[in-house]
Amino acid sequence: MNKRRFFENPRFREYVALLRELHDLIRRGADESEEGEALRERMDVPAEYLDQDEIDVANQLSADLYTLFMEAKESPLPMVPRAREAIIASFAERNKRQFAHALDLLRTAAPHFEVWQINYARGSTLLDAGLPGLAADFFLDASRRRPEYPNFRFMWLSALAYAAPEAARNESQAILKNYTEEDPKLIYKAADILFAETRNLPDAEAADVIQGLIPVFEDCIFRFQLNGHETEENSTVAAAMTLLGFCHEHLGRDDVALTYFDRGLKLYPHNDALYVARGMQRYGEDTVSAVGDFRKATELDSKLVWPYFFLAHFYLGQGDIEECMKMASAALQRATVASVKADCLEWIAICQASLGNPEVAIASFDEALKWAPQNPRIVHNRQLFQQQAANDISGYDLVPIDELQTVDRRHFSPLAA
Amino acid sequence: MPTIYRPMKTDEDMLPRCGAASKELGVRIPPNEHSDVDVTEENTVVLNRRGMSVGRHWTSLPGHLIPKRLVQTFPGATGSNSLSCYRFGHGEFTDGTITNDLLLALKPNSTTLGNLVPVYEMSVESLQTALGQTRERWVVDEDLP
Repeated sequence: MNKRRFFENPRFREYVALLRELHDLIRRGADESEEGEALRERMDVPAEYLDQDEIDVANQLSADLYTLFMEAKESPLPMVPRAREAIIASFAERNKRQFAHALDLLRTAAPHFEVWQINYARGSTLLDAGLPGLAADFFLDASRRRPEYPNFRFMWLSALAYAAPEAARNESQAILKNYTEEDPKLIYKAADILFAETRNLPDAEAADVIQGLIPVFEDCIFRFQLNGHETEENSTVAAAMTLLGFCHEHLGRDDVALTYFDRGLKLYPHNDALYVARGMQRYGEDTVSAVGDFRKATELDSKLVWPYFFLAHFYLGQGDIEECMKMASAALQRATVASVKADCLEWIAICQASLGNPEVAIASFDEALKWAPQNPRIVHNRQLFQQQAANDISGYDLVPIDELQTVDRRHFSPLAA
Repeated sequence: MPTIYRPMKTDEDMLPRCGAASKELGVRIPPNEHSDVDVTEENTVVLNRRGMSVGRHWTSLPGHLIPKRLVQTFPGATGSNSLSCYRFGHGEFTDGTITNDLLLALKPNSTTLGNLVPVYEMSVESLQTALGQTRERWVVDEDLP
């Protein structure tokens, strides 16, 4: 078996995460301390498992980290074709998930670019490499050097939401205190984070927060439209409309929600998130229209799990095994929530049972139960299959539509950073 | 005899400090959670190539072991400034005898990293003594290769 190396190696990732902490201590002048010594000793453990190439890459990344928050000593060298080619090659390597090489190419080009440009590219590379904490540091550095580029703070806050949710929530609350004075894209992200965070609040408190977010999203959309960014930032405006609709839906104002989804789709008829949001609201009451919305979202190659998930449920209920399998598999690839993965695997199991593939069916039931061990419906369906080898779909308990309607919209992130 | 490098804390006489703590001339032993060796119930060191870590050169090592005052010559250095990079011996970095009691054992699949390990079964105290006896043969060498 090939050893997973560099950013695929958990030991490397652990070392790099600790390295980030060490650089933070160094910047604060606090590393020559017991805390610093203890941290370095912790670093010995993952370091023991790194090979020489990994050590070299970690050391180069450490050198990159020294550029954070330091004044640039010199102006960039004149631009040369080789430097531009290195940047382009770096982006290509990033797309191929060759992150160590991508970062190395950025170093080659660095003397010819401003520090903020290279550090923004480093942040993007590290975000793709699954190190959002480090990415956030580089984005923040870029935004401090170039505050006039609001996308840098947007990316910083997005990365921070993955790396340190509590810190992201605190930053978001601080940003929204003066939301009319901040950039609307940053406002959108801060409101998005606080909307998602209401999952962790008691209902009454969540309702208060969501009520408070309504004017924030409204102002955000208004200013996007006013400053002419509604076309340039169309996916962000559409995402803001989606979440604004969800806010109203959460507060029981379904009609208002629907007007936002309809209004958004008139402006942005190619936005998958709006189709999904409208489909979720219609499913069960106007299922034919809802299925049309979900199909449209899949035609737009939506990255969201929900259109595939709802369509899989719909096709299973219709007895269309082939389409259900296709959609459940597509949903499974995109699912991040355990209960959603479990549902998809259960539906695949039922399809396999009806196709007469008992071994695959039982394996899929078992996999589903790994994600949701306490789910009584899956346990029941598995037992049913074992007892009767039921291959008629009507014999199984299917998720009722009203249960599917309770899918928490706060798991719905319409705009990935 | 192989040439080996190791960053270590420095005593007042500029020689490495002996001891069983991190970055000292010696090994960390159980119950230290970062123990460098495995120890039997009879308090002898298990001969499994674990021991005091060293490198072919200090530039081969993770940056958190390299004193950060060397950052101009080694830009990834993040180690404590209380460390110095020491060199011992002259020769190729391969498995081989360091003293009568100590052996350089390269780490698996590595040509640049290794451990100083006991040549034969010995007590933990004997290993610490054997390592301590090399103290005066270590010299500070922070030059690039």
